[in-house]
Amino acid sequence: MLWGRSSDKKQAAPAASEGPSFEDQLPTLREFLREYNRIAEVCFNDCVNDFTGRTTTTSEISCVNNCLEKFLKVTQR
Amino acid sequence: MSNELNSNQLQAAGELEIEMMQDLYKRMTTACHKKCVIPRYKDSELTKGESVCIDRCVAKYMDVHDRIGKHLTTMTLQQQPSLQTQQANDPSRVVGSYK
Repeated sequence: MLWGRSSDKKQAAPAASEGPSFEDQLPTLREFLREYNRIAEVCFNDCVNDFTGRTTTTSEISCVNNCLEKFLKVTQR
Repeated sequence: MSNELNSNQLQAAGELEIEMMQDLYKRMTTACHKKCVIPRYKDSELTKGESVCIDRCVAKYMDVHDRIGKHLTTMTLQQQPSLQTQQANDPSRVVGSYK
């Protein structure tokens, strides 16, 4: 839908003036949200290993940001 | 596309949100179990260290989840300006904080 993924092709062609209906967008939205959960899981597993505190450290935050960017670039490639 | 959702669509959106929260819960418990619970099962009770670790793990996981959500929302809006008016009218229900 947004990052040139293969799910683009599944989306129906929009009607003349209205665009895709909510129901048509649901499967795409569902897949987007599932990917979102997957990104969170992968980046958490790879970046966060220190449980001496409750808050995420700055290095963990930058790691997560980079992880997210890389993840999206992988899907684009 | 109209900004108003009828009750069927609202219900579908709510069911989707619940489904995603279940998915989130499953991934989070798997991740925190792996990170915090030592695979030596001499005792059935969680140690104090494991309990504290799980507590912190959940807090961090939700924080990571929220940050990624905000980042993705920002990127989505940048790529599709037509969504910005929708966002202003109906702040994301489905992609957002679960607190």
